[in-house]
Amino acid sequence: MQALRIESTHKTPRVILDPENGIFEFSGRSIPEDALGFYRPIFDWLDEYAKSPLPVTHVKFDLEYFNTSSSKNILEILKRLESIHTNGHEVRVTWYYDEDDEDMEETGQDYQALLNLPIELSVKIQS
Amino acid sequence: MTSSEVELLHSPALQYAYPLYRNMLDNSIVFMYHGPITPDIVVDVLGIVEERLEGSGEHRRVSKKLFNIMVESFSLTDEMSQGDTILMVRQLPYLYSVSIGRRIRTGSVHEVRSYLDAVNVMAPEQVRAEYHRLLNEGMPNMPLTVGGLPAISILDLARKCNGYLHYSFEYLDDEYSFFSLEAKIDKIKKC
Repeated sequence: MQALRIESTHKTPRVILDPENGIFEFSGRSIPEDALGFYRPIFDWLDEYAKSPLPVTHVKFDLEYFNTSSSKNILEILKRLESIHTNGHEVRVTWYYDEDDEDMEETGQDYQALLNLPIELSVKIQS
Repeated sequence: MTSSEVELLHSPALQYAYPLYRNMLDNSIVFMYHGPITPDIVVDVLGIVEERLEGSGEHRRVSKKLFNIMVESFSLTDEMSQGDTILMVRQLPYLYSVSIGRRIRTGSVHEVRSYLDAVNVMAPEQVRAEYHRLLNEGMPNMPLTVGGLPAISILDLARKCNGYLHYSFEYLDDEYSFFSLEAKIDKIKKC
């Protein structure tokens, strides 16, 4: 299976889905014009990955800001990961947030509450 | 061309500059935008406001909150309001205020007002529960709307500013009314 790499723009996040190492990353901003149009290839890729996932998949969300339209699509991504996890393949999600960004922390807590998936909230280390 | 358009064409622009300046100064308006809202414009607007906040030495917690509220405010615009949206940021001694204004159907005013009134009396846990419900329901590209506005955006804004949203409606004609929504961010206490 081919890796999926999408470079960031000033309104869409950088996405790396590496099936060889089981490392998935989402970083940057997400305010696309057509949120579903942006996220649909990611859903399709994850559906394919779910057929034969690695024993452990690490997923990192390091988002700067996003709107609720993106929130719904991120939930769809997490639901797919939850399904992989429920089927016996470990999925470890880390949700990074800036220590001054209580809204981003709260969003991570929302996903924790809505899903049966281990989501670790982690404060970003300032560079 | 109508007579009022001809009048507008020949009126000197400078006569509006000082009243506008005075209005912005007197009402502590630090940013105002009128026009279409696209993701590119959102990014540009955020960049301008970010620069202003950095210059004023604002605490990062407040800057982040202001940013997040502005990002979500833009979600209240759509094709119908394109080109006719205003965004205003006021910087007052103890708070920031972000207002978004757009036309909505006059026939939707009652529905939007009722929804906002209901949200404004919800306890924070109720707002959170309702937000979770809407986040979890429906297709990602088909959010539940209230009078044409995405309900989840209203709830998100309510959460971000401690559960209370100020609003107003101005009747324009039988087809359209002007809707304004204001979210306030406390500079000192946690929202």
